[in-house]
Amino acid sequence: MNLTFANPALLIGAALFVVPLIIHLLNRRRFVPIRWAAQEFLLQAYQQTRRRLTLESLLLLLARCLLIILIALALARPFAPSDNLLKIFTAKQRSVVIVIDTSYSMTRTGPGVETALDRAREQSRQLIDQLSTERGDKVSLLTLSSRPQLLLNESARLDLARDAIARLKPDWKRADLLRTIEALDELVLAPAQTHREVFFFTDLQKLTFDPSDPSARARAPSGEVVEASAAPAFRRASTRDAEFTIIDVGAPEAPRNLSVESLAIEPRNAVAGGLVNITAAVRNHGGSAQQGVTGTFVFNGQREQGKLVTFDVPAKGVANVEFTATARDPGYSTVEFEISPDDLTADDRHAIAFPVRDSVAVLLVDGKDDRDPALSATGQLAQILNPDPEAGGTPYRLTTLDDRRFNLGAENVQNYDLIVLADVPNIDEKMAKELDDAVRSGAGLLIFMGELVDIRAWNERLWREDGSGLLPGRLLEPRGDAQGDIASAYYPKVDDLEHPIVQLFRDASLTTQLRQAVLRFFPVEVGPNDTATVTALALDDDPVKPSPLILEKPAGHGRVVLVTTSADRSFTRLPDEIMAYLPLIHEMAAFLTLPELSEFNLQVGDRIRRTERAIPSALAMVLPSNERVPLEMPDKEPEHGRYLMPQFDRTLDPGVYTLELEFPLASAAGTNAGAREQIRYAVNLDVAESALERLTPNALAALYPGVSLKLLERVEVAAKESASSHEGELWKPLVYALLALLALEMAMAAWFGRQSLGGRT
Amino acid sequence: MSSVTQDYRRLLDPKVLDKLGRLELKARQAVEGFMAGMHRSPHRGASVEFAEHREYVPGDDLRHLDWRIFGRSDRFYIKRYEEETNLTLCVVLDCSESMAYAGQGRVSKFNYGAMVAATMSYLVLHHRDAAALALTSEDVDKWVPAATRPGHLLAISDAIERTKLSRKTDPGLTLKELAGRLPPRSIVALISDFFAPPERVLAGVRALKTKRQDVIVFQVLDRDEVEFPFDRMLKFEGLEGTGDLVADPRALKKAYLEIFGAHQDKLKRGCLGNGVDYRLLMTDTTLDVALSSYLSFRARRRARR
Repeated sequence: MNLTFANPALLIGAALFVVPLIIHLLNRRRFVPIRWAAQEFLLQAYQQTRRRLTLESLLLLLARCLLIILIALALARPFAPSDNLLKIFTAKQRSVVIVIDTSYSMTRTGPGVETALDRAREQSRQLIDQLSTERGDKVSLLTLSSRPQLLLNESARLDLARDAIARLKPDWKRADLLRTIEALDELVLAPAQTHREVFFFTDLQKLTFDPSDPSARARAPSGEVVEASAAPAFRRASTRDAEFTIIDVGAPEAPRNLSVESLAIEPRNAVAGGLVNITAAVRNHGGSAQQGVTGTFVFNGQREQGKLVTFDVPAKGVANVEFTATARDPGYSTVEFEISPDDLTADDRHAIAFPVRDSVAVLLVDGKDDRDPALSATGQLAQILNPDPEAGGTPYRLTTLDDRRFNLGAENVQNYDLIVLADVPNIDEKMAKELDDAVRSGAGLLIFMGELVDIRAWNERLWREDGSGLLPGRLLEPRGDAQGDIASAYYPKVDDLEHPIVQLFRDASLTTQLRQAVLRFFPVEVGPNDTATVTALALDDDPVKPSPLILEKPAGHGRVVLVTTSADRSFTRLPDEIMAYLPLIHEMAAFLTLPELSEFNLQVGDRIRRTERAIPSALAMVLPSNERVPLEMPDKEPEHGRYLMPQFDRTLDPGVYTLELEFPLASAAGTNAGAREQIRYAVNLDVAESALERLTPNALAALYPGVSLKLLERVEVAAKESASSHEGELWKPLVYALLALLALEMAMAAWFGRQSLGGRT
Repeated sequence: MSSVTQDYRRLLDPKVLDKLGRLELKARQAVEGFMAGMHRSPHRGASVEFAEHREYVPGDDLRHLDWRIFGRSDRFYIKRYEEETNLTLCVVLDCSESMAYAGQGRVSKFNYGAMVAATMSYLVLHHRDAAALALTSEDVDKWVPAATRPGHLLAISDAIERTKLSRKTDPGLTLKELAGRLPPRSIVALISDFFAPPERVLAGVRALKTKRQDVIVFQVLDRDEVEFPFDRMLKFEGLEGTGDLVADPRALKKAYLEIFGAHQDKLKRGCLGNGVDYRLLMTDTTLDVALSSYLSFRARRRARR
């Protein structure tokens, strides 16, 4: 037993154990004589108890001598070597919390092929190797990620911790430090009041550690560092009995990373056979320009037919790479763009998914029975949307109907992408319901007013006070005189052309064309519940509260646009100016029929949600890894005539996900009976995480004021530092033993009826 | 409590009495104090008590004629009174060395016993009864025979005051010896700490009882002996040559109290078993306990007769 002592000289004090002996002997001499009458009884008592008294005296004496020796030993501060049996007394039980950054910046390869995450795994394993199950050490494991996960909490199973660390997968989003610290504080630190050593294994990405409240940043004087938004939570956590160490596993050299930031397609409503222009934005996060970067556009996953492009990316800049292709087949297409791999490969590709329509089906309904169809509202609209049906050229496939046949249900509105109602006097109750379903499941509805319109009937059928109706507002009695003087007409206000429908007219040459006389229009009262209604274009009738000319309102998956004047020239001179009217109609039609691309383009972790008009007989999701996951058939009631498919939220990895549907031959909805459909979804990672810029130690301290953070490069150093101060010291157990012995001595003295060292008993 | 009673209790405090000097004076003081507590005048012929009536014969003292009976029946009756000359109290006071013990601020057991002895003697002589005294240790060291004259108290207190405490107690032997000397049907008051084997004490008591003596046992103890309150290292020097013992009293207290309690118990039971009155007198209690014990005892005895 090789004990070493911090103050060996104090060991001499152990010789003082003779003091109680001397006191004992002296005490036997220090007495007061008393002449005693009842001596016989006393002598008898003494005879009876002599042996017990001697034993008690010896025990007390022994305890007192031991006390002195223990005091001397404790003051000498002995150390037990690590292989000593006494180690079990000295070793402090450790509770280690391992927080591993799993955001995908950690997959960047440093020097060699090892990623930061590999290093974090290795270092954290080394940390676990320092723990001991015998000593009762505990380990907790938390991920520093977008959705922090507590994989282990206060577990003595070190093997489980090793397994969990080996199984850690990168998170394809940016890490949420605030949520992680809150989870750490609430789930790990707060519940138990034991001392914790918290180790963060991270690449110290600036993005993770530096997000701060933009408003606070804006308020702060220039040059002053604003504390990170996670700083208050960190301070709160640091009030617990815990020490925080950051192990920097990131590569030290300057980041060199290109990332494909986004993909865009033009036009958004692609039709089969039409051209699609794809633009990829490639960002250079590094400080030096990259020349001759190669990238490949891949259409619908057909890599062998990929289109290779070469381009340059300026330092800290973005290169837009374009590619034009023909959308061959209708359905759901994807385009992926991949650049040659760099240090961080995860962000070297991006995908976009979009529907390719066969054509855009438009139903034109006219309330006015004009003798010359070419002069009618719908005739004009048809001319504008598809001037030459034989030659093609526009995606619109038109069907024209009068309002009576429309109300009788001659056409199923569900089969149309756009329904145009021009001067329709009235909508049947049944038709109103069908229109509502069609719009909510994705169709566009364009409404023009006219002299035949019965506002009472329209308001009754299509307007709801709670804002749930299709009409963007309540129609009021028309204003203005259709036959009146052009001088008293109203004109569109062109000073606010923000809405997508009218953005085109910001071009000065078009702006003036748009200013055409509106002689008569239907004012619309936008109620307090019509919160979604937006005025796309207003009239100049009232400088304070101008009446709307074009109103827009989303409804379910579809949209409604209301033009408060006529489609033909009965109320307005707009149709006369073809330079304004043609683009306006096209913009409105495009706006109403544009597919909602956000439905098909998601981020990792997002939920894929799909509605269908019939219940498929087979349903499966094909993952980017080509794994096919069969899905449960939906059993819910249809909503607005569509069935909600099972929601899929296992979008854990970036890539293209394909939802495969198979419909039975005898499908109720008819249109897609017996069809097989493949809907493609592009799931991308969070490109923000691509910025690999790292934080300096000084910046870290400034961002987290009031938090004691130790920053180290390797875990051994951390272990050595924490161990060097008090590892192996025996004084604490000695003091405990001393206190226990003192208590024992006092108890014995009280029990034996003697005077104690601790006082009179 | 009236001021008179308070006053008398103050007079009966052994500490106060002890300061008074001569034992005779102490006895007088005590009895007067005691009587003041009982009734106002102790000088009203308490010793002359009415016994019976008899018919008048010429020559009888007319002072004793009962005029009330004459008024009712026209006959002369003489009231007869009982003279107390036939009662003898023998006080046996232990003067062995163990009686010398006095606790802190208290009178010694012997001094207390002496006061009890003198007081009782005074009371007896005051009643015109006979008082005798025996001072005993291993033998009867001093014997003052019974007498009724008032000056006899002086002889008794003298004998007590001259006594030196030196030897051991052997109540068995001394009481047997005393039994022979005493007139029969006396009252024997034994005053001692009885630190002797209870069997020997009881053997002596039985010897007295066989001689038809009435015995009252007054055990005089110091509070220290009953409670053993010591808490520091002491050297117990045994009186009566029992040897010394250096010990921590707290370690011995439990065993001592057990043994002492057993002794007391045996003595008390033995006394009761032999029809003997037992009174424990602590040296810090007033003397009236002893005196009233004696008086009640005397009253009972008269009732028996």
